Amino acid sequence: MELSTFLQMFVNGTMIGSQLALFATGLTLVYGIMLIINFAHGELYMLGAFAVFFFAEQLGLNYFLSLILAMIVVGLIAIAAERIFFKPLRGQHIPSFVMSCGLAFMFQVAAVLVFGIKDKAIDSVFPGVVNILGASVSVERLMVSLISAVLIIGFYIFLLRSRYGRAMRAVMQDPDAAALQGVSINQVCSLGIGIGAALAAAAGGLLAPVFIFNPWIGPVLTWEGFIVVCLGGKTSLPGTLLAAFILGYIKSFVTTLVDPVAALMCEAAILGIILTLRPQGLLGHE
Amino acid sequence: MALIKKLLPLLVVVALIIAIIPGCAAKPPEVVQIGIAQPVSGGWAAWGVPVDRGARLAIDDVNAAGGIIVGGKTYTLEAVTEDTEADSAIAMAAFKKLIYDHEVGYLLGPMSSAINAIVQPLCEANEVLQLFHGSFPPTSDDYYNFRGTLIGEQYGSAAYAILLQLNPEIKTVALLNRDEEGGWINQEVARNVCNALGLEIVLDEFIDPYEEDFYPILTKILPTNPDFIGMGMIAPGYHALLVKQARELGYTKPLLAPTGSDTAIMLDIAGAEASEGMIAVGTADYIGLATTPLMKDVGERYLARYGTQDAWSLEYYNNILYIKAGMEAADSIDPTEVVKVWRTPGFTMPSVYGDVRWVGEEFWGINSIASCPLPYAQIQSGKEVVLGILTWEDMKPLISAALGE
Repeated sequence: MELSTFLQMFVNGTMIGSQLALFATGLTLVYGIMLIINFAHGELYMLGAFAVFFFAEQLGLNYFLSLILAMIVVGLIAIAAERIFFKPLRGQHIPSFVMSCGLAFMFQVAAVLVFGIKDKAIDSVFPGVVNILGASVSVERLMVSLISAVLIIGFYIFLLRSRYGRAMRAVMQDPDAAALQGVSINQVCSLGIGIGAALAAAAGGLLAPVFIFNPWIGPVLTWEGFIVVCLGGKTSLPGTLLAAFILGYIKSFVTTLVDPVAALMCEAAILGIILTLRPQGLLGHE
Repeated sequence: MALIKKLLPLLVVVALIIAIIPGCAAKPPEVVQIGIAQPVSGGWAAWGVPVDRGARLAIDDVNAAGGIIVGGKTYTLEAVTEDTEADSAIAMAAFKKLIYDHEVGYLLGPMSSAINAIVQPLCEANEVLQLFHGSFPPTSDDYYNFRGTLIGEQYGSAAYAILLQLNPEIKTVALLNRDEEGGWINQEVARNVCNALGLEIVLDEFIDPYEEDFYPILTKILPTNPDFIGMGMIAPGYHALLVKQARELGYTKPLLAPTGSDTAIMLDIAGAEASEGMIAVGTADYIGLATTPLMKDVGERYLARYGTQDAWSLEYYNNILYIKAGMEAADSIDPTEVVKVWRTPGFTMPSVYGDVRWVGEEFWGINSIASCPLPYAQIQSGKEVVLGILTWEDMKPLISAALGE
């Protein structure tokens, strides 16, 4: 195998890993704080893509401003959904799961009614291709990885250093103890789902110029996101990052060296083996 | 109260008389329901929605022109759409609902050979006339099943032949298809066509139907340096995305999707530069292509109603014209009688292209494919330019070659 092909596989895997990491970080946060299996998370990604499409393509706003607006709008939608639908079901896995499926359907229908059924794309924001030692990658993809890294690092700093971040970590570890210490569970839940949704929207908005999107792209992404979350350790954010890159490299290397079906089988096998040996996931706690 | 009690039996009797005696009750509307079972949501909606739109426009036109007169009665048509989501299980439920609940005798669908293999026995058993849209050829024991649009051996062999005609230096191909039953069937057709045309297949791959990141599979394909990449059953948006990503990775040679080309989507997603020279079989530009006044008229009204022109849409407009012609010739709305008429040698039906007939017996032992022509086009300077139109007679030698005859 030529070095350039190996490098191309490595670059491809890094790109896939960073996309998965940004999407799954929000999912981990929501599950960690609220113990909600949010099957509408992929739809939040989809809404993010459509929101950027609306602001940037239809209103003609600057792409980055559109991205920020999309994160705010989708974050607020998620907070409203949490207050109305999820609050009474907090901590109840099955009812909240069913509720999230209903929400996912509602978001899909809303997107169909507003934006129609055809695949959409956003004009390239960073046109061009760069060549790294024989490996090609579009500037768009590079920027997605860089901005994803900035968002994830920024979120980690917020989580580690800020008062609200500490409150969120406290709730993720032990909600009852956190409540006894004066942490407002309602506030933390709203903030958690708002940030989680904003990260999903950021992923959708960032990838909108790279891929295509339509009202039905959410479910497949949600499945991929949950695989990452389970592999990483359910509530472990570092575990989510690790799992995202492991799966990204498996998908890239196995697809290129064998075929896409083998890549899927390999991902499933890795998930099965790790969860058998460590049911709590790679970096999760018992 | 006592008065009501006394009158109640009388009222019941009067109501029964009104309901039973013909002429007293309101006449039931003489309506023939046409079932439309297509993917009107999901990635295949780009193919399924034009079926719904084309058929509904035709139904409205037929009704506005006075309906269909059969046995001295006037019937109007009514569309009933069920979403198959391009999924076998959902499609089966949609077909059952249309056949058992709505009791339709005519069905446009499904889209996909794999799904057709599952639902066709249900239609045959219930004597439901089915106009199916997919790539797989008919079999000699089909009776109620007809191909309302062209099949893989037609547009596949045509697209490959046109590509070779425009690029005679082409010798090798990498084939890529969706990893599901429709994709497997379509890949088999593509292999046959390539072998018949003497092309060397350097790679033969399948991808996840919902995959949007083609970098990994392209990283596998590009080192084999194929003269072109043949993409099979790939929806238009995914096709355009694959073109875009192949260009990003430095692939400058042709990419061909015989089933999935839609110029507007291609230009929107991949851009004019990446799309330059792409071949499209079929067209969305029915107005520009118009070979008959009806085609132009219907194309313009379709555009006015839906705000867009959709690839293959008027083929489904034609499907309703075939049904109308069949009912009038059979003087019956019974699907079995219509099939008998359709299967009568020499029977012709109107279409936006002019008169067509059911063909294909010389290849598959049965006349079940509409003899519609196939326009072929190329993207040049950001626009679709129609290069020509293949008739059924033009396609026959290509099909022979594809079948190895």
